[in-house]
Amino acid sequence: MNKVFGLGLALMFLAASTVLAADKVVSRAAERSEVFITVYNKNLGLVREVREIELPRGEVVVEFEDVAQQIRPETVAIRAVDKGGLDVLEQNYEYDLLTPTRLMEKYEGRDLKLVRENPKTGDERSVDATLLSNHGGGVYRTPAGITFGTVGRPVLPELPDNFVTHPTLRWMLSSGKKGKRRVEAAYLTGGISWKADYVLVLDKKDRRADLNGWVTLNNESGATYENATLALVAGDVHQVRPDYSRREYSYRQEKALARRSGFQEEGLFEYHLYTLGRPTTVADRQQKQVSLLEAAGVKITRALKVKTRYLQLESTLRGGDPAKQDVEVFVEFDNSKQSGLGMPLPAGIIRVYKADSRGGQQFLGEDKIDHTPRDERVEIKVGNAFDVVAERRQIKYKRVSKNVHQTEWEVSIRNHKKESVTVIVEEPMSGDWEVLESSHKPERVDAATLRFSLPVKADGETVLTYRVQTKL
Amino acid sequence: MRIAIAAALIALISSLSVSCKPRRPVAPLGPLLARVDSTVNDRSDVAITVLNQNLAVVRETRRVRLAEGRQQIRFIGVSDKIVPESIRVKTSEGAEPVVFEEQNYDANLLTPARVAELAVGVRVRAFETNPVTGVEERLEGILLNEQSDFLIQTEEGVRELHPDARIEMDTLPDGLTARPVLSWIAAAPTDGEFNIEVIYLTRGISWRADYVVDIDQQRRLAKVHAWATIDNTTALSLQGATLQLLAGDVNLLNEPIRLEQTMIVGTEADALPPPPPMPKQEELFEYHLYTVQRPLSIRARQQKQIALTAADNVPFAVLHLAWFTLSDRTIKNIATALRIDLEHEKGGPLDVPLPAGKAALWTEDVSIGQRIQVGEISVDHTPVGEPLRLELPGDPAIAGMWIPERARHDDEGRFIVDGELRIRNNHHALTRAEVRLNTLGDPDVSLQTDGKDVPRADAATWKLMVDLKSTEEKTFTIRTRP
Repeated sequence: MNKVFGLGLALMFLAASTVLAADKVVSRAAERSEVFITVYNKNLGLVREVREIELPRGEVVVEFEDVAQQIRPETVAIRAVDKGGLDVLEQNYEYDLLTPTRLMEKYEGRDLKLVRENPKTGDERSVDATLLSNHGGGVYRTPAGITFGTVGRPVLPELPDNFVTHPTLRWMLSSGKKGKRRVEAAYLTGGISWKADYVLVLDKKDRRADLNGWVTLNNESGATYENATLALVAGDVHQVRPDYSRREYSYRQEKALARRSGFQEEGLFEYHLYTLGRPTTVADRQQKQVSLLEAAGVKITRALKVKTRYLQLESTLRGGDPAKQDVEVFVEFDNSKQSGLGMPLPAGIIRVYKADSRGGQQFLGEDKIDHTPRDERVEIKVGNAFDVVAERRQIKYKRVSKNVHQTEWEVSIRNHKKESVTVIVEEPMSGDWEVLESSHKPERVDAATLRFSLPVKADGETVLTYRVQTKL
Repeated sequence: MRIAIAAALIALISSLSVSCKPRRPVAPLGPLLARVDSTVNDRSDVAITVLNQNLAVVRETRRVRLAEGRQQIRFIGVSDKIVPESIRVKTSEGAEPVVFEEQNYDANLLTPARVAELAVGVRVRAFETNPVTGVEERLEGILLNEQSDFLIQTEEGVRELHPDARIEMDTLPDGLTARPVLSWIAAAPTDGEFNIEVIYLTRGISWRADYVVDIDQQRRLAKVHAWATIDNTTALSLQGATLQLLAGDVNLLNEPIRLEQTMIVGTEADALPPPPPMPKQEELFEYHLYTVQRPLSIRARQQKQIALTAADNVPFAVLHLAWFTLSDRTIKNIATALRIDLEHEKGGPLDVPLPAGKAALWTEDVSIGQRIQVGEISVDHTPVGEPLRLELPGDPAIAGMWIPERARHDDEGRFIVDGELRIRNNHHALTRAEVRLNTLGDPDVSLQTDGKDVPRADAATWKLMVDLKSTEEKTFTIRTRP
């Protein structure tokens, strides 16, 4: 058996997918007739492939090569998609890879040859030997006696059983008929993921924008899928790690999708499924981009906000100077029909551009968006305003009683632009709070946020002061 | 439960996917498509906008000949630090545009390790040199593993290759490239030449402003010269490019660290006025954009400086600052700073927005009669109307000491301390110092000196203005009162 296998292995590499012995078949990527990949956002892909494999009738071992390196072997399922019966008797995932050390371990007690080189003449001489042990160096029995140390280079007559050069799926199958069978394998793999990338191009006055969505697919799964039908699932799929189990499952036959060059969107369970209308090749270590959606003239608004984080309220030891704060610029739009949009937006990165006076598009900033269903508002932080400055000072602190105190704040906004602006100031609050007095109308957004809306004239300054009592 | 989830997932997706009806195998996509390679020689126009945050936008147009129908276009010569998902492409002319169906960025790099990995199971030739005779021995067999200590299966059996052995094979494994390749699958409406316009982001290119501020202490006027320092750490090389610089804080996810490099300035020559013309400035969104008025070349791994602005006779104000913490311990080394506020007003000598960067501060050293650099200060984005503030920590002109006499916490938890504040002028001229006082703990107290209340700067800081003649020392008695 060993001899047959060793010889067979050599043959196998010479001509892939040749039937070696009566009971063993190796299948490689060249036999693929169809590949379907469904990719999820979170580093997970479902690969389904059909191969045409020449099988004998009865029991046969099939080695299924060229699967993703990051396969989750426990998720593999196999079945025949033609008639004639195919039973899975056993499934193994072999990952005992060949290394010189592992090889010698397996050769303990077996015969081999030691090739010795004469260091003076360079002549080689071969000696028969038996490997007695291989712990921290080999100990051999040769016709001359027991030997160890620099004994020569071992040459093994054949490969021991159960070694593989690539991680390999090995099935024990029982085929109902002889001949070319259509066998389908499905499995989950890591190392493949997709995300959406958006491009938002603002018009001259920042009133409308064109939105383009792209799918960016990243394949590091360790396999290339030629002419695959590509589908993407948008939504957060719950994954249990690392334990997946294999189970038989059934298919529902469906009409083939019309050939289109872009993606077709459909609802799937609580997610959205996008299927590419034509087959595509997904190569290993490739990043691929395909257009997902387009919308022109989406109504947008621009907003300037000063969002205070709690820690900034603390006064420093080197005090006395007001603290500078970022004036953040946001672009916001409704994902609705009325705004010129109204389609599910998968989570991803949105990049904002605008043309300069010469017409060249300039990059303004980027932000992440979540999975955004129809009729939800999208808020994108683009950057910080250059010409609007915000500074804050705590001007008074008074303790009313042990757990009640009053603080008075001053927020100055200076606008160095040619036009007037409105700046939203959002202040973090804690405990049971109440605004006792303020220069501008306070708005309670929620239990932890106080908001003011401050108009600031061109080249002007607006100073907000407010006093708040907090009971902790 | 886990089984159910995994199985349900597979079943769900499978059931909704495409049919499994026997279908004729589709021929591989690659070999059927014609391939067009575009190199930098096709460039007709190139522009780059550099941001402060180690990021740049490259816009280039190339004239490329395409054939009617679908083809693969390989776009060679983009930045090695490209952000592939930011790439956008289009053609400009013609009624019918070229349709870009998909874009691929292949980074399966050709390395010995990757070749070995893909050569496992392939028939290779190995050569081992006999160390004595120098004769090269040739072996042929199947490579069995991908890591060093290679195993090879020859006709005679399995053996390990000598570590110095050389491995040869006839063809490269598929899909490996020497450098990342950007390509598209695109359909052209007709045969002909098309202008392909590409815009993308690249990391590894940044800029900052470098200011040289030369102050004349007698006349209380300063010279301000600004350079834009552009640092290109990528392999991208651009000839005849339009260079634009964007000043502002652009929101970036996983924001790259701003490039911090040592200043090149350090010689007096840098204080000379930079040559005109200065880049043209315009407002863009909430930022400022500078366009260099002549095409220039940016070479790979190059640092370049361009004059940004220059102004003479800029008035400035000097403030000596000292901070005392009214602690219960004696503090001999108080914190001091020298603050220089340069006038930066509309209609003034310095009437341009000042982008973030670094400033080198120069002044005349009277003792040696030469101009010296006294400090280097980082500068924030500063709009017109806000002073250009340069603050040097540690003002040698001012020294001070705090000696507490009595300290306690009152029933309300406030910290009550009385003590003596000494402040001295080491400078040769009359100096006005702004002394800031902080108490420890609850700031709901008042501060008095010589029976008078000390005014507050903010809720926890008090401010005392002190005029000191040369080498004069003044002492103040400070009392905190609930």
